[in-house]
Amino acid sequence: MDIEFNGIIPIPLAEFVTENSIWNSTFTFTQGLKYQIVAPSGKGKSTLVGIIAGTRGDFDGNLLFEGQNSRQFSPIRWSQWRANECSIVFQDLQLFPKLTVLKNLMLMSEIQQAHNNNISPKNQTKETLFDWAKQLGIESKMDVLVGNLSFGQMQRVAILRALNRPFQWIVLDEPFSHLDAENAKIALDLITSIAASQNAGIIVTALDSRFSIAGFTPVNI
Amino acid sequence: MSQKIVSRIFIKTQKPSQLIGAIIGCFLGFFLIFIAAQLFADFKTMVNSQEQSIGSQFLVVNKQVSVLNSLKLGKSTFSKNEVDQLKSLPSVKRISEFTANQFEAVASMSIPNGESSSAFRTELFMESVGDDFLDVKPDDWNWELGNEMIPMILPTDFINLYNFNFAPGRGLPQLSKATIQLAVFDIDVRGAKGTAHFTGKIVGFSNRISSVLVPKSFMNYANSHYGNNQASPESYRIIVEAKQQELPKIQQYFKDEGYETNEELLKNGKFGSLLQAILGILAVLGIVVMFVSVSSFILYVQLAISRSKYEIETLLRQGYPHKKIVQWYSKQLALIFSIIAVVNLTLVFGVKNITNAYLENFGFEAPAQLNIFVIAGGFLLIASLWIVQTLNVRSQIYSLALPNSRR
Repeated sequence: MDIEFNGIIPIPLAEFVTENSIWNSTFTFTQGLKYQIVAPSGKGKSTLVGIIAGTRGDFDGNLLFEGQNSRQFSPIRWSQWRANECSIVFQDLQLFPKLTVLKNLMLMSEIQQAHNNNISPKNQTKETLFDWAKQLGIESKMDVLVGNLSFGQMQRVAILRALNRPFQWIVLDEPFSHLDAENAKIALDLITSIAASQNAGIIVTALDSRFSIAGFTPVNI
Repeated sequence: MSQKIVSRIFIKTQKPSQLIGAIIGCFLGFFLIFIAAQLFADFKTMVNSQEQSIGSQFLVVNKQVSVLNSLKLGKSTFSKNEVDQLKSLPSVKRISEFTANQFEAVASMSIPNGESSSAFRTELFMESVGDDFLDVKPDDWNWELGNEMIPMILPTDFINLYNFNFAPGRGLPQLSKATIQLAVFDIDVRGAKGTAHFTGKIVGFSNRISSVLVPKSFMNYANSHYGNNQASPESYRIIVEAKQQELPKIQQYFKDEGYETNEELLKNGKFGSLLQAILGILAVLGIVVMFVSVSSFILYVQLAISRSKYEIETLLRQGYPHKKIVQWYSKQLALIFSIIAVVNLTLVFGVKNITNAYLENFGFEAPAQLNIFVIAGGFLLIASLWIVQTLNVRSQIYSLALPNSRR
């Protein structure tokens, strides 16, 4: 499912919109491709993620999903979008600090179930989750409460949770900000390989252009 | 697989003490209103019950005795006109005239006293009245022609006077009601038309009527056979069954006509009105407390949702359907309200049993079961509160589920 920005101007950013930006123009994110949003802080990276996630509606213009206007989305449609179509890693991660890492990850099965889906093959088995966690170096933290982790560790938990569901898009807001280069690369490789296996598109935001990712189309805002 | 992790998320954000406080508050509000409704229902049942007299008021009416009566210039009996007028009053259910003895009757009894025996002897004044107007119905309360034994009912006041005043002063033994009922004494009847011998026995005691009562059949027989004059004498006293709620009207009527009545019994009637008023106040209080406690419970639920706002938003952002969150809260509320309803009705039943036992001491028999309308009304009230709460939760969660500008 392609995501089309059609003359979107976030209301809080209306005064700061510049030429040559995704704002107030027409831009299509094509499913299966990889995009990197690059901009200094305050330009609206998180706003863009919020608009795609459906948590923000304070914008002019239209957001179209395969031609359908997002303003027509009901709350239940948004929940399907987030559960089955578009996986999002928010900048503030949105984890449950009082649950263990494993419970945070397993929660996705309950969410699938709440949509009356059978256990989706895209909800991974515990073994796969442990394998991914091992790759990201947080395998030993599976039974630790998320509230007791460092922010970098939490980022990796949030990434794993995002991967543990079916998706056509995975949108990540500053996912590597607290990871060292090596761990960031491992995480990115995991994300791209799983996305590729589902023919999913990737949108990732990063603080500045120094952190440009090979193979990702840069998008200015 | 159930939604265990989701439940855990919500439960972990709550403060049990606040929840328990809110439940207790809600519980008390409902309890007050339930118990008031149940007691009120019981009270109404007792009032409407034919066998019980709390809804009616029996009044013994007589004319005031003045100097004129003493000089035999005025009449203290009720004429037929006056009786008919009394009968026709809308506040009067029915009346019965007292018939007094028109003959001389002397009761006597020998009391064994060591070797000698002493006898007591007294002249008797008796009355009879319709059986329906008696507050006691002893089994052997009947007399037929040919019976030697006359059953009698004494005022409870008599035996109290004897036991607490006369007997102690004279060094005589106090007598229980049962003992008195064992005694058989002689009654000699003498009138213009002849004499006769009977025996008498006390078969019961009346709180309502301050008179020595004998069955109407005996009184009619004895008056016609041994009576001194009139065939159907006018009555000095009348017993009136009045409608409880119309007591003030009839009191006013008596006052206007110059009739006297037993005020003490009236107080018992007023007790009914007072009880009704107290239950009314309890019900009003219950409604007020219920409103306060229900409002506080609604506030608690809003607070609980605010407290879980992060968790709810986070679940929504991970794609958890808002309807499922509403369902979760709705189920918890249903559980809480069911517990409140069941415990409440059980407790009301318990309290009702205690009050029933208490009322039995006063001779009232309240229904043993809970009133069906109280049960149904209680469930309806709680169910509607549950619906209101669920709608309330729904609107709160729904607003969180929409993109922010449209909230």
